[in-house]
Amino acid sequence: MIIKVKVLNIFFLLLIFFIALQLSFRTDYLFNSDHGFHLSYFIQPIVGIESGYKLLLDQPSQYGFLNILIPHILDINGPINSFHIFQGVLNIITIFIAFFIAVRILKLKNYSFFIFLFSIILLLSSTDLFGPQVYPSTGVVRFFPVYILILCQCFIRNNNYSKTREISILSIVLCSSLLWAAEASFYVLFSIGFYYLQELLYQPCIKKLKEVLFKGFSIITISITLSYIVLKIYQNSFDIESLNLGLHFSYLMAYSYGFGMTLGAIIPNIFSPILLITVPLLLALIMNRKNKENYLTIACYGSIIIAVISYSFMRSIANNINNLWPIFFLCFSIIYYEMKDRNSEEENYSLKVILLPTVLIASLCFSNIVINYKKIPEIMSTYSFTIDNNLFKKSFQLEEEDKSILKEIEKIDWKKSSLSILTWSGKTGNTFNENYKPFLPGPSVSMTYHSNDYIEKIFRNSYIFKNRNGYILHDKKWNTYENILKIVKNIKSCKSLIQSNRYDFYECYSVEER
Amino acid sequence: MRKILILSQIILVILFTYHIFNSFFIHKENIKYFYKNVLKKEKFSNSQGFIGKKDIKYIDLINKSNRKYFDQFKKIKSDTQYYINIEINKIEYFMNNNELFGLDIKLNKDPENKLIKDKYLFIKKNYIKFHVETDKLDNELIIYMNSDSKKLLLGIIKNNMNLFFILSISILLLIRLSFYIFPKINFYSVFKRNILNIERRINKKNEFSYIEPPLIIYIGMFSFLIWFKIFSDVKLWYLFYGLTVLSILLLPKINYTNYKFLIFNKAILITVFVMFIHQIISRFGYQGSMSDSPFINKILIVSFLFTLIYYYFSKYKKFITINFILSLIFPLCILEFRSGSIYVSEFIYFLIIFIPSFLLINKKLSL
Repeated sequence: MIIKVKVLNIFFLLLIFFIALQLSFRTDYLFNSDHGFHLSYFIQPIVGIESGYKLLLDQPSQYGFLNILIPHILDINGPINSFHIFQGVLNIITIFIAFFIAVRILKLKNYSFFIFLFSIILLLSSTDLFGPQVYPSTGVVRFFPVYILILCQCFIRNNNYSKTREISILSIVLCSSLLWAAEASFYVLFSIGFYYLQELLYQPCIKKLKEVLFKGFSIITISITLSYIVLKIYQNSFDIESLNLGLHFSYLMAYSYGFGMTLGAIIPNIFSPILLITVPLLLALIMNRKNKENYLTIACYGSIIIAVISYSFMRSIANNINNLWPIFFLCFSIIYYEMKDRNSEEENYSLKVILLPTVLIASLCFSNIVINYKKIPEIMSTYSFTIDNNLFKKSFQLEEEDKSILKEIEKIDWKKSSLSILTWSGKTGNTFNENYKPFLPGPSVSMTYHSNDYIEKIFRNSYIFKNRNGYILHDKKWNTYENILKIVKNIKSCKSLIQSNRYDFYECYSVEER
Repeated sequence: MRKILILSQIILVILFTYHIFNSFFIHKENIKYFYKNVLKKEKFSNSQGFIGKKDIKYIDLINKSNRKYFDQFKKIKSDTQYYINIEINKIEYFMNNNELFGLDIKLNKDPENKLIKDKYLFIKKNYIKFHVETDKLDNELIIYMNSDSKKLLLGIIKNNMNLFFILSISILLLIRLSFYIFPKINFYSVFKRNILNIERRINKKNEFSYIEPPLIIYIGMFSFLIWFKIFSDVKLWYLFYGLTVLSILLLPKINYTNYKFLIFNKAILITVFVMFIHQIISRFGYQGSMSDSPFINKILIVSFLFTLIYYYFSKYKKFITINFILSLIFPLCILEFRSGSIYVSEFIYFLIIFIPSFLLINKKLSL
């Protein structure tokens, strides 16, 4: 009987991995979402780096450092393909993390069912089964260090590791998150800090305070030192005179001031989805306040949950919490399984409470899939490791047709010149043309989130920008880019070539050259 | 009887005040909708005769392309007066007369200007929106809209005053009459006996009573802040996050044994319940987008989810209050997820698929 269960588990597991592989490398997302508008936040920095701009110097990157640098280094058949493979591989690694937690650490009997649920929540969670790839900013590319933290915390807690090992592992996690993206480092740092604070408040005494301070201080020192070494290696390899670390954190700061807030989203929702997550957590903490082991289990993974919830708060969009479902599922499940063996009646009830969000999230996703089952074969058929770049050799398009501008763009000699399009229009702004060389570091949208002085300083300090000639197409439908255009005109000598109702087309040279 | 009369009038005043403010915010959203979908999308030129015109009526702006927005706008507006003032003029005009429009010299909203600063009954007296646009001759124009919120609020109060008086008198008469019609029943004693029963139940302590207060404080805090829109902008979310972090950190540490707390709990619970019903009626689904769904659907979904979650906890009768709260709050939490929205149009699938999924997943994961 046991062998039969094992064989079934392995059979289902293989099936799940096969399906997950196909879903992780689906390509339909590339053509969705406003002509690749969201994808451009990741692709355009890679294109920028390939044209000479450098991360942490003159190439801003809204979503991080390592998650842009790695696909650039991968360099498989162009930036889009490199990023596609990078994202797909991250999805697979994340499913392996869930597998490792379920099989090796928690030793679950029904691990294939658990991994199946996690995979569908990770890859097909939205109503229309788009999954996280349509907006890579909502998927593993953004939250990968959090999954690593969950794995490490689970590993540390279930193996009774010594203080030194705990510090070493958490330092490496914090270091990798620091390099991954500023936002990811906030999630990891907050999770660790908040957990230690709860641990201290559980038994407040000087000895505990000293222990917590020692652990916290050590983790921060080691991770900063490691990050410093990695950044030095990066600086030397890419031949950068001095790094602008402010650029790494600038978007996190901009987020905290509210640039990402959507107008429609600030309508407050009473009983918004956040309660579904925070209420069970609070309830479980209250009920287990006399059971130290359980309390610290909830506090540990609860801290991760509270840290990532800030993502929804920063954007002020209640439903952005949907993107965190895989993390919630994993955290609540781990809490449940870790607590399961230490039960009394009271704790049994809290087990039920802790399991409820997991069951609800999984049921909603599962129902979504059953309702939309017709879409599944279509999605699976788009699986591909390598994207045919011919698919992206699109000519430049303007939302409001203007033949004279298109003619001028066609004439551009990409070896000598470059082009940047200042627009919010996906159709116009995200043309994936393989010859394309950006005049300004892209995407242009990302630069509008900073103050004029800050952007001007980056441009003025950029050797590449100083020596680059190029064209600017300004879409006047939005006034967002006026300041950037002004800055470029201040630094460069720009000549207006075409002015239409909708667009202004400029040719810009270095001042010395003209 | 006097006590009942006073109590009924107090309840009526609270409901009336709520209704007034709720209507006010619905109309304000409608004005915002008008600005966003009509004024902001419209391209103005000299030939239309709007530029520089003093008294532009919003109705003058109707054309083929924006008719559907107007229809929607008028549907909500019905016969309520909006006091919308629209001006379209060159930038220089607004620069020269900036104070008249509540703007500073750089054409930003001037927080010290009377138009911007003035408040009435906790709401801003003037609702101002404007944007810059370039016409075909490359002139920069400002499209400016001001709506008088004070007059709007007073108008809504005036429109509803008759209803309030009629209701008030009807209730008074009804209560008085009931005493004449049923003279043998002592309403007060029945009322008092029930109140005592409720009070006894409320104050009944069990060993798990300590769980209730922190949970209810957290949910109550959350609901009050958002429902009453203490801050109308995104700061509210930050406040929320801060309060959530503090609640997780501190609430489990506090020891609750005082029975007065239990009464307080139940009072909050009842309020939360009222808010909950309000949500079902008026703002169902993600950002209220599902409000058009038939009322019966809303009730069905919520009651079905309530039953399912209540059943999930049914084994633990000692925690009945907590079970009740969770079963009450969670259905709406679930439906606020975007994924929930598909179920309104495909309600039958929801029933068929969600129940077995829930039961199966619960069973499998519990193993």
